[in-house]
Amino acid sequence: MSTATVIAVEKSATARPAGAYHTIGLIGPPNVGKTTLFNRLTGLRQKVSNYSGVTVEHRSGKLKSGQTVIDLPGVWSLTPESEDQKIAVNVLHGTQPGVPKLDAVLLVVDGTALHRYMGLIHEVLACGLPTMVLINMADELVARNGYIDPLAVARELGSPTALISASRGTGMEAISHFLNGEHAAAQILPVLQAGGNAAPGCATDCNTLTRSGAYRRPHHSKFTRAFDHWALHPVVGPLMCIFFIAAAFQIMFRLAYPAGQWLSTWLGDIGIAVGAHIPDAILRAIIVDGIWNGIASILGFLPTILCMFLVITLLEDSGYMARAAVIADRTMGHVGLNGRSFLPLLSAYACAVPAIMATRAIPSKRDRLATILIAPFMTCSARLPVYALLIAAFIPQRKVLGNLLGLQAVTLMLLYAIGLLAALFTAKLLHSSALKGSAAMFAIELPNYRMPRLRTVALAIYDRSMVFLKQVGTVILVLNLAIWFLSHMPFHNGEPSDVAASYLARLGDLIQPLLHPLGLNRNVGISLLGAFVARESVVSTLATLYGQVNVGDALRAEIGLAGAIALLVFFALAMQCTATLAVVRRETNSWKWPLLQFAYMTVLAYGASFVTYRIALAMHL
Amino acid sequence: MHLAELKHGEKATVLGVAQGEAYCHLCALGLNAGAEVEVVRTLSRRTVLIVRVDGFDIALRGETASTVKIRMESAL
Repeated sequence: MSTATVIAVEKSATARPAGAYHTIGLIGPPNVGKTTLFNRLTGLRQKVSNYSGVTVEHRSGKLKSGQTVIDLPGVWSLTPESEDQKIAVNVLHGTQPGVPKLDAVLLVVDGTALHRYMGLIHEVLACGLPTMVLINMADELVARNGYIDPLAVARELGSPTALISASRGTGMEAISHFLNGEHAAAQILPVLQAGGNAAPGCATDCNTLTRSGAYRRPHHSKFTRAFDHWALHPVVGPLMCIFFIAAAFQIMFRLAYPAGQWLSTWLGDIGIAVGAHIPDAILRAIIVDGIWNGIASILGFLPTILCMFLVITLLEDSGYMARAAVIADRTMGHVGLNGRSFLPLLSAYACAVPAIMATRAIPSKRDRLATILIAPFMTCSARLPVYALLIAAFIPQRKVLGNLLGLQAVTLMLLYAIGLLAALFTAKLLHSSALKGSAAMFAIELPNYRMPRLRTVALAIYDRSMVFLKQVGTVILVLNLAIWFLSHMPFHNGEPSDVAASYLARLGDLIQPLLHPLGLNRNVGISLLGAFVARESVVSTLATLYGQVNVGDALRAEIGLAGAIALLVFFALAMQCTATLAVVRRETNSWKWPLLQFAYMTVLAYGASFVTYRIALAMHL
Repeated sequence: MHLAELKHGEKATVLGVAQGEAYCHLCALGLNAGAEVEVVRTLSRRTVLIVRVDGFDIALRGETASTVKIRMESAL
């Protein structure tokens, strides 16, 4: 350590306050609690958007004092190799369009593995902005017999340094002292204010820190090692993984999905009650059926999505997610994906929307895109009511496989399998065409297990839900309104027309020649068009179209078993969900991928459905 | 030699990571020159290795591990 640094540090301790900083950048590697700190600093005063032209998320928020904090993408180094890193570097240098120049930087690192971050620390300090190094998880370091002398580290780095715990909220005073341009009172937390931020020339590495006694690595967690013995066990590991998944799905289907249905119905009832006070029929229909029911259907999604985010956040925060990825990696490797895609794909069985949002954890852009593109093939919960209707109407309750399973259950399983096979086939196809590359890369940290903290989990869920409601919700609402108008126009004598006489029905007539080769009729076509709002609406649309007649009986008479099987196959593969289209657009930040995906899935669904229908006819079904 | 060749229980020192797709990511996981590594477990016939890097556990595919150059501890 040079004497000059010490002098710089000590002299600045008596320097006058430089005045508060206005725009502060928050930077650090992924998974060190950067977002937790950001949430703690800004509370709910946040704004999320995308950096122009790229998929990298741009978060900024206001401190209580009105200062702006920009949460930079999580990076391991400032070598601009990826899109995230390029943006981080540009923001630090003040050259990112649309982002104000930074006055100061907060650099967050994980205190339990300080030695890994020395490279990044030096790169950030070399940018020359006033920087405070925040050593997070200091409590965990001490709890695990590690040791850190922040004063010595501050001298080594020539930069103000503070020990914090973002999840517990300790050390926040030191941050506000720094941001207000004051040097912190040493008795609160040992914080030093450096004069300039001259680049230390990357001479200080962990070895120097260790030798100088400023830092001692923590001991590994005994619990983690013991638990991992079983969590990664060749037999027990997969079983444990299946157990957690089964538990999550139980909660989803037993609690969240019914809660969503109930919420949607309840909101619908409110709409009807309020609508009774609107005198004009068309205005009432637009407000109640068009807008309000659209909102109700979006909010009906919310419990399932919240529950999914809860499960994902708990798995991530506890550290189990990495183990599940390791367990699943081998299987995923067969189709050119890696273990990190496993959980998002699994969540897609509940709903593709949170699944696609969860792909952010996948570091490789190519793997992430592949996961987004195949996720809608997984059989989501909204497909179930339609499957239930058709299976109940067409498949007899016969026992198969020696009374072990019912034919209806087997049919349902086959439908799940069709979706999965289509997903695997598509992944393989992508891997050997559009998204070619050596997907052999898979490396993941196995962090110590830790108890997820309520505040962190709650904020993460709140954050994701707001993204869903604000950015995805608005697209869904617009598309839903468009479909609603199609199904209620033209207006006759101030009354909206019946679905059967609407523009949607005329569209149904138009596409009927296309549906004929699949053995499907006009009413099914209309309901499939309506399904873009919400897949499960097929059931209610058919009920409206057939009026008094039982839908099952009507379908049996009109499309027959072969047509029903063709319809099931079509429904299993087609991308009939505006919410998914909207979320793919948001996550890929372009219309190119959702439209390609839509076209591909529709063609695949049509082709598979056609082949199935022909085979079924040939078998005289 | 490289990390994928390291046997269960053997210790080595990292010499460096080959440039490529995994480079940044592996450095971030602590596989920098000078880091001590030990294979603590192998899964499904060495397709996945659990490696202790300076006291921290990471999991990586065998193919990925082969981009990490190492020197055996005994050779020091």
